[in-house]
Amino acid sequence: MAKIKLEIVTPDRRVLKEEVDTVTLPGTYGELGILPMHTTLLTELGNGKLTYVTGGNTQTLEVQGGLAEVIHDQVTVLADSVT
Amino acid sequence: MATLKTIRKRIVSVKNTQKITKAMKMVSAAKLRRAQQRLMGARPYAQKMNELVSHIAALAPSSAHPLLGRREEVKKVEFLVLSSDRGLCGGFNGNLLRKVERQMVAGKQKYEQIQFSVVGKKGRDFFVARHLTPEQTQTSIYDTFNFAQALNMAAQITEGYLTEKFDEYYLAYNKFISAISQEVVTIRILPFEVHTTDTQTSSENYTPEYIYEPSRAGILDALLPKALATTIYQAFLESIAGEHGARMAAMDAATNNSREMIRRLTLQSNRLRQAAITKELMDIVNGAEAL
Repeated sequence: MAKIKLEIVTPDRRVLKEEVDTVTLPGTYGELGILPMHTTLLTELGNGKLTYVTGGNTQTLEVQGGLAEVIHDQVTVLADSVT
Repeated sequence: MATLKTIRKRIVSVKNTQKITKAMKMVSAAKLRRAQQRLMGARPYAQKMNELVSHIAALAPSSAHPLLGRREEVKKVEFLVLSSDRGLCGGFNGNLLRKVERQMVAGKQKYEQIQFSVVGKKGRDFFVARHLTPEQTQTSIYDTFNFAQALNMAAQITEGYLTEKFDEYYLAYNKFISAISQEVVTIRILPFEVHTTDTQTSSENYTPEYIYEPSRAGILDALLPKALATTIYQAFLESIAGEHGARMAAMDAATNNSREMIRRLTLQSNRLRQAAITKELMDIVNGAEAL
């Protein structure tokens, strides 16, 4: 299965740059599940959990606000802060 | 003619100065390393933000958001000058402030009104000495500067732009090139530069229209102030790193100069001492002969 390139950055540092299978983003209007071949999307993020799955492992990060861009199987998360 | 005693006193004094400059150099080197790390850490975000803005700006018509697209008539411009709070950093402030002054003089013919705000005590003093009043002066904010403050400044600038306090906003600062070199740059941060280059439409880089959630206007409202803050934040980090770099270089030069000075003074003092000994010897020999 195709992979998604996930990159998470905050104003202070790059949090993550990894190839993952799926990503779930905390959108302002609810969660957004991103699979490979997703259409290009630009969304605002609310506060909530960002989860991503790599090889069966699910990882969770707490995201506070920001933006996310999905383009050509590349998910870029510009978060205000990540814990 | 300098006496032996005064020369020795000077050597001691130069040595003391050297100790200070050496210590300042080390402190700056440590601070520079930290500032540089911060700068490097902030780069990925800034880079992504720029990419995103230029993607969107290429797709959206400049009428999509008031912060995009230039005003037809540019009458009032404002500069924000990032100088340092402390001195002893070589040409760091001088280069910057002189360039800004030149630009403001040159701009007088082009624009109806030129105003400026200043960050840093050195910049404040410079303009006070020239009887120019900045719109806003902020000092001692470098040590605690963070992204939230950049967001605040961005909001203020956006407000000023929308209420037509100015039609264009420029940021003048020292860009960090390497530990020993900075470059004075002036960039326009408002309105946003809309790139309409044809090269971007080549098939590989082709960006299809996004699905915006919640809406394009909503996204632009959220994105543009953040993008502005990012530019400001980046400029602050560059300026901070540049300041420490400039101070380190200046203090290194000062330490080397005092070393050279000590060498010269020591030589002079040794000559004088030798001359005194020779003179005394001659006196003794002459005295002995006279007997």
